[in-house]
Amino acid sequence: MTITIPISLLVHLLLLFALVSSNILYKANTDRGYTPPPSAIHVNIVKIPRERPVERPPVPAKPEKKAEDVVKVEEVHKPAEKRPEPVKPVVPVEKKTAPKEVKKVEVKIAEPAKMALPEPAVPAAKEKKEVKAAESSTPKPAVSPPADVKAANVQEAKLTPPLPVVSGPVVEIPDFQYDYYLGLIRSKVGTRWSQPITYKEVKQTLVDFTIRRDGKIGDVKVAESSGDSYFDQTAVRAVSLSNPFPPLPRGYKEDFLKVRYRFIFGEKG
Amino acid sequence: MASLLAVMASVGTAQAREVYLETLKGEVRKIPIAVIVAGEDAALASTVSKVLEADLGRSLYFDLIKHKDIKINGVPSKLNEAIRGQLKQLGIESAVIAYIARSEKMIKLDGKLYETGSGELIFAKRYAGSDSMVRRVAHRFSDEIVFRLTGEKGIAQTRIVYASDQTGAKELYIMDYDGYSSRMITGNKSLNLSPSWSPDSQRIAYTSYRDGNPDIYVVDLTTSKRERLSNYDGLDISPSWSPDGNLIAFASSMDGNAEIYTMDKAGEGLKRLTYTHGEDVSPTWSPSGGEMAFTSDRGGSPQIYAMKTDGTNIRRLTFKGEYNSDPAWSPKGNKIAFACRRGGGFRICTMNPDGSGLIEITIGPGSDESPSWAPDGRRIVFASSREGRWNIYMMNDDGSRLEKLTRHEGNNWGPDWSPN
Repeated sequence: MTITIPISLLVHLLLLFALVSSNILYKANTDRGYTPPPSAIHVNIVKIPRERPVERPPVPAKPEKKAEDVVKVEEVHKPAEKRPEPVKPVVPVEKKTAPKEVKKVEVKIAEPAKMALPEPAVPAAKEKKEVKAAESSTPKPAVSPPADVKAANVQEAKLTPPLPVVSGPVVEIPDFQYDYYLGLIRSKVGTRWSQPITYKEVKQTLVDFTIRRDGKIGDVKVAESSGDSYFDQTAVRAVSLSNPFPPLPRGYKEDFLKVRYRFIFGEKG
Repeated sequence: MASLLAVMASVGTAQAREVYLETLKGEVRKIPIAVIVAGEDAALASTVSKVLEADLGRSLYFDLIKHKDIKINGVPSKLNEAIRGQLKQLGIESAVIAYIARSEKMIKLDGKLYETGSGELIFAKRYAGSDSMVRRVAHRFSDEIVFRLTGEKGIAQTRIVYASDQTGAKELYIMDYDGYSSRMITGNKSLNLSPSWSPDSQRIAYTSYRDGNPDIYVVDLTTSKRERLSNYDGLDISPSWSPDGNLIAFASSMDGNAEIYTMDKAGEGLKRLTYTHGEDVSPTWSPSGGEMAFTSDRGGSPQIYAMKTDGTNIRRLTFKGEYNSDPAWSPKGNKIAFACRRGGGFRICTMNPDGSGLIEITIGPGSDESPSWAPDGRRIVFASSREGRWNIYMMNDDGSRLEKLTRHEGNNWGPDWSPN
């Protein structure tokens, strides 16, 4: 018996301590305006942290997807960035030509696009849209000069948003007037392209290469991947198998011509 | 990004310019083209026009558009609006305009190629030649047109060597690829057969019985000099020039039965490649020069085999048909054409170099033999008895667009298409 007294005393002390501590909690909760019993609070505390982690993963997941989208836009942006550049070099190359000529050339671009290559209008419109998207998301000074040139086109592109509609080749050299030559390149590459069967989505690969005066090609490389290396390979193969192209046009005086070829997979003709 | 931009800009300013293209999926699109030839001598102009149109049509790159009402005075340096409008209305994208003139015994062709979208001149050339060169001049012009619009080498100036008995003896002849301008290159009133062009198209190796025993001879077409390369016992037949021009593969029975050998172009350095009890004949080189296909009956019936050009790695390629022979490796390397027989006459077959993808591309009647590829790898010339007498025909590599090339009396065999 003498032993049980100190034990019971210890137990009681512990109970008292527990009561005091629960009171403190109770007070704390009442301070916040909550009035559930302490046990209920315990349950809540346990549940809340569980719910939060469950909610959180999906939340971060969405931002991740958004991040991917952003990445995609950037990828698309790359050509947009590159594109203006050819315009730049062109102007410096012909220092004599005043900026006014750019406007004149614009008309030329429009004309041949309709005459020589009527079909590929889709990517052009698409491209322009992408350009615009890229511009709006990350406005860069490099884009601004040609943005004026493209402004009208971008607005046109808006009118046909849902399906990609081809509107003609985008020629980034304002004074490159040899659309027939681009047509020859297109028909040659087209016949050598074994386009893989695509699913519902439309993909594109951009392939860069140079054509020498004598028509031989070099520096064939993927400038923008479709994300599917097999698709990319069919595009690179189509270009490589087209070697050589016809000699560069007589009137074109440069040593070689840089060409960017856009392959649209799964496009509905 | 900024550095990338800077790099791009500097590359751009260096020499080249950048152009953006977009594609549709692989459609085969022929270029709509018109040929307009004028000249004081209407018959001459008509001949030139016909040759050009036939060449461009055979090239398979063009759709020839009729244009009867378009008249052009002279050969302008740039197409004017009126003519451009007329051409464009007919859907013509490229226009060949030429003026042919005859002065004394010379002909002069002023040829130009335009693009109708802008009226731009793509190229202009003047050709001159003797009176008898009209067709040749037109062929040359058409090859230039093909090159300027496709980047590919045309085949209009190529020729075909073949054996013919039109004089009684079996002699060798060379004709233009369209069957015209045939001329004899042997003339020994003996038996000459299985001619083979050198890769530079300057010489022809062939088998001749002129000295009794069938041996390999070579004739140089520029000097007309002839020499005997082989003088072994037995038959030396079916010579085939290596792609680098240094070796000639042939079949010889010098060691009993026919085996494949090589020798250099001077007839030295004999090397035996095959060792079987069967007959090995008709070697043909792959365009890389690393492989050879040939006919062998080592398996019981004549079939096509392939090996490395050092005689190793021999494997059988054909397993269908009772008799397959006369292989010809395409200059593009992707096909082997041969004569195939599955009962009845021989047909022309093609297959991939590993024996897969076998297709019979002729249908008879009669027999079709000795296929040989055009240098563009898109056309095949062969000998056929479909009309009774043996003649030389050419067709696309799928059997379409058949044309009879030899139009004279006599029989014609064993054609070989010049590499240039």
